[in-house]
Amino acid sequence: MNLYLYCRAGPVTYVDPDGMEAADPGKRFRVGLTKAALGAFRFVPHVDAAIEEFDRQNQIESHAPIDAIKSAPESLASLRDADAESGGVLRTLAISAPAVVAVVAAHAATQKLVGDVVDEAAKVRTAGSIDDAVKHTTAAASRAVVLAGIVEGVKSAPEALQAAKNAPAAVKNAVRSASELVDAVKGLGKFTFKLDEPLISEAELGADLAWFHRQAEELGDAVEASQARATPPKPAATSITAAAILSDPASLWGRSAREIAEALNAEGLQARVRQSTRGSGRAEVIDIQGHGTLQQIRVHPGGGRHGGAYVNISTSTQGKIKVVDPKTYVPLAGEKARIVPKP
Amino acid sequence: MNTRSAPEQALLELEWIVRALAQAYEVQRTLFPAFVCVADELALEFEERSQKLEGCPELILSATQSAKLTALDDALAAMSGSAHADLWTDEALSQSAEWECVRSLAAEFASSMQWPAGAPSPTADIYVGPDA
Repeated sequence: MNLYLYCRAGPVTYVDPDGMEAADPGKRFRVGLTKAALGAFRFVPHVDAAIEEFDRQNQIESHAPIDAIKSAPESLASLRDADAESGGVLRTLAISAPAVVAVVAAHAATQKLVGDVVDEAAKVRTAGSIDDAVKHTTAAASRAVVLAGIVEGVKSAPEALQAAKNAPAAVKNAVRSASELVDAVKGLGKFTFKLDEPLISEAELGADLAWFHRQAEELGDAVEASQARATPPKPAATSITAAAILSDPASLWGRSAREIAEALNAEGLQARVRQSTRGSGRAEVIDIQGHGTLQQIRVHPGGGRHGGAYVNISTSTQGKIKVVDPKTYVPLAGEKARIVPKP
Repeated sequence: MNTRSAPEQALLELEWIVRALAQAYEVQRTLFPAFVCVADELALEFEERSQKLEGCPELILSATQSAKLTALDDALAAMSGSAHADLWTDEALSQSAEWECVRSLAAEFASSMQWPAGAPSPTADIYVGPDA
């Protein structure tokens, strides 16, 4: 007869506190613990501001679970001591509190996992880039997720502990030790651990990591927002007007055809953007009406022998003015173009 | 100061590009600075200048001249667009049959207009270039 049928013969995985239904309690805590792992970013000095912003937006009050993970080895060691001190009574109790035995039995394995989490967190501290920080935090999180709910099952321990109150003094002492450990381990963010395989399937872990990555992306956005706030605003670009174009053609550099046309339309001219109908079709043409001098502007992405974009301005009085990409323009020997340096 | 009438100016501008189109590749490439895509620039200039001509209704071409201009425009239009991206490179301009056809049509139209067959003068375009 299998004594663990009440929890699908999986006492390490499932708990059944009310006798109605076996449940995997670790699931409820994975998200929380992953968020806690995200707190490892705190070790990256230059994203502190972003972390605060991220915490504020996500109403993350504390990163205590990470601290608890750091102290987990000691907590687990004390559990082993308690078990020894109780002469094995604790193990006996654990039969009716499956999660406790899971903690004891999984001690060595969880110690390694906890060590890995701490190591990865340390690597986050010395990460040279956000990418590295994300990589190590992800590694920490994946292990933390495996550990998630270590003694979530211990939530069922109170029942066992309640029963133990009626036990002899020696047992009570052991229970007290165990109870203290239960509290300590609860602080870890709960582990659920099975000796031979993680309780979380790869698919579940993948889903958790995907969630984590989304959080990391949000963190990245928060970093950018934080940096944007720290960066003084750029001075307003020179406004585009027909007069400005003629007096300083180079002011068009970097402007899109649509941007130029909108500015000219706002000035009261009629500027219409269209794709060129002759040629490669890559040039955008702005036909301008209502201005005596300015007739057409072409914005070309480039493609000549030297490459580089250029803007062609057709006027009725100055002929054609071509604004050349300063980075790519290399005059040929004997070139006929007349270069007018930007003022 | 430019004292030409609009039709005269439009016609002069069209002459420049049609004669440019009629030249061999080696000549065409000297008419433009190196940063432009010469083939594209030839077509874009033709597009702009022929449109300018349309804005001068008082300028009347003969039926033959109009037909030759239309043939030249149609040839360029048929080659245009991203579907024919391979025709808008220096290599295509120097070697392709399509561009040879354009040269021939441009020469025919120039001849019908009694324009010289030689290369046009370099333009007086202003290039606002790199910082001094």
